[in-house]
Amino acid sequence: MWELVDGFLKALQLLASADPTVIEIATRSLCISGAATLMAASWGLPTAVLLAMGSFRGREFIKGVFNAMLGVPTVGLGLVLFLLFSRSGPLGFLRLLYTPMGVAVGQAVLVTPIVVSFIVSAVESVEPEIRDLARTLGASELEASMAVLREARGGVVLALVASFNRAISELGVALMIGGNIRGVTRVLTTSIALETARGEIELSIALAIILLLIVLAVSLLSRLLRRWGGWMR
Amino acid sequence: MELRGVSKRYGRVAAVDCVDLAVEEGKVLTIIGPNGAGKTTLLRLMALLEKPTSGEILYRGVRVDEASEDVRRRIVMVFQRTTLFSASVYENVAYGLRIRGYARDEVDARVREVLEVVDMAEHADRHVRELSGGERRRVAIAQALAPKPELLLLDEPLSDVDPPTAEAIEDVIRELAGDLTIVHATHDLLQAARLSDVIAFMRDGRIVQIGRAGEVFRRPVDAFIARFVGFENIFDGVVVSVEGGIAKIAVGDVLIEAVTERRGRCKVALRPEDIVLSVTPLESSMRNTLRGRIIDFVDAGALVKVLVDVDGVTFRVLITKRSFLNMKLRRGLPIYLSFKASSIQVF
Repeated sequence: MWELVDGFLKALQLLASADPTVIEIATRSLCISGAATLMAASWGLPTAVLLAMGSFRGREFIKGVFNAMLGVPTVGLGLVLFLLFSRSGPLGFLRLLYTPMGVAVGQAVLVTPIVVSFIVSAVESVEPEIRDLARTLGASELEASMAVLREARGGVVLALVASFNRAISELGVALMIGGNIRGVTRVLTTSIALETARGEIELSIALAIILLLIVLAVSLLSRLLRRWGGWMR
Repeated sequence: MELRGVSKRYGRVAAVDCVDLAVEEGKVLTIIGPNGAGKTTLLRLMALLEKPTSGEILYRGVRVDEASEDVRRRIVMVFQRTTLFSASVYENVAYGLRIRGYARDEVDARVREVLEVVDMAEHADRHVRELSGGERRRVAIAQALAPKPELLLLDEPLSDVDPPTAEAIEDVIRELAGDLTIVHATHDLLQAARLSDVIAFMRDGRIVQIGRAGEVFRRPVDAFIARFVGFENIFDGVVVSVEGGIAKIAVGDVLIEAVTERRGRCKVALRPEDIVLSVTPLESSMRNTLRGRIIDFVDAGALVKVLVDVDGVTFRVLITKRSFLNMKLRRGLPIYLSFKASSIQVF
C-alpha cells in the first residue's frame, strides 16, 4: 500500500519537473493516436455516411460487421497485423513493422469500427426530413448529405473522441506492431507495461496519470466546446 | 407547372394515381382532401423531391425530374411537420441563399427582409430549439421565401399552430399571392376558401374535381366531396318524376324538388345554411317547404345547428344565434323548412 502512495508522490514529482523521458513518451503517444484517429476518420466518415444514407444490398450486414468489431481484442488484431506487416507477410513491402506509422495504422484499423458505428448511429438519428429540407432549399445531393452530417456533428465529435481515447489507451497493437522500441515506438501504454515489469512503479504511475489526464482532457474539451461554442448544439 | 398522367406507387399502393394538373402562374391552387388522399406525395412530386413512377412533369413547357437542379431551385416546399436545421433562426433562413452563392451582405439583407415579413426579425439570433411551434412555423415560411422561389408548395401550413399565428401566416400567403405561384395542401375548408383561386379535390391519389373555389364548394361532383365541403344533409332518394328540369325526389316519406335530369336512385345533398327556418310557412319563391319538429340543437358560438325531424328524415339547419333567440326555438316546436330547388345537389 505504502509502495503505491510512494510511487504516486514520486510520479507527481516527475510530472512537476517535466521529466524529458515522460514528456517524450507522452508526446509520441499523442502524435501516433492522433494520426490513427485522423486516418480512421478519413476512411470511416465516408463509409459511415454511405452506410447511413445509402440504400444498397448488404448495407445492414456491413453495419452489423462494424458493430461486431467494436469489441475486437487488441492483441488478436495486433497479431493479425503483425503477420500482415511482417517481412514475409502480404504487406511486408510497406515496412511498417516496428515503426510509429505502423502503430498508427494498426490503431486506425482498431478504431475504425468505433468511427463507423458511432457516426452511422448519429446520422440515422437525424430527422429524415432534414435531407428533404436541404434539397428543397436548393442543395445538391452532396450538399444535402453535408447538411445531414452537420446535424449529426455532436455524434461525429463523440465518435472521434471515443476513437482517440481507445487508440491512446490500447496496448496490444502498440506492443505487437511497435515492439516498444525506446525512442522510436515506445508509447504510454507499452511504457507502463514495461516499467511495471521492471519494478519502476513511480514511472509507471506517472505515465498512467498522464494517460488518464489526456483521456479526461480530450473528453472534457469536447464537452466544453459543446457548451461554449454552441456549434455542436 | 404541369403534371401529365403522373403516378407514384409504393409497392402496390398508388399514393398518386394518374394525375393531370396544370398550375397557372401567379395563382393559388389549393389541394383539399381527406388524410391519406395523396396530397403530400403530390406536393413532393411537384417539388421534384420524388421521381414519379410514371407520367411526366413539365415546368414552363420543359420536362423536368428530380435531377433538374436548376428548376428545383425555383421551387420550395414547406413541410407539414416543421423541420429546421439545428442552428439559429438567421442560419436557417440564410441556408437557401448561401447554397445559391449569394454574397454575405445580400444574404444579410434578404434574411432581415423575410424575417420582417413573418414578424421574426427580433429573433434572428435565437436558436430554433428555443422557439415555440408557431415561431418555428414562421421561420420555416421565411426560410422558404428567402431564395425567392417561383413556385411555393405549402403542406398544411397552418396545422398545429395557434389562431394568431395561423392568421399571421395566412396574411403572409395572401400578400405573396400574385407575386409567386402557390400550391397548398390542406383539409381546412375555410382556409382553402379564403386563400385559393382554384381548388383541386383529391381522393385515393386522384384529382376528382377541380375548379374555382366557389364552384367546388357549391357544385361538388359526388356525395363524398359534398360531405367534405360541408353538405351535411345527404340522403338516399328516388326520382319520382321529372318535369321541365325539376325533379320530384322521394327521400323516405318526404318529397323534395330539385333541379336535375337524373332518374332512378340518387343521393340528395343540401347545405345546412341553405335552409331557412320559420315558425309559419314562408311566402317565397323557394320550391321546397316542409313541416317538421325540432328534435335538438347544438350551440356553435355565433351560429346554432338545429336538428329537425321531417317525417322520419333528420335535417341539419344552420342559423344565427340571433335568429334562434328571436324565434324562441325549443325542442319539440313545430317548424317549417324552406329551401330552393337549385340549392340541392343530386348525384
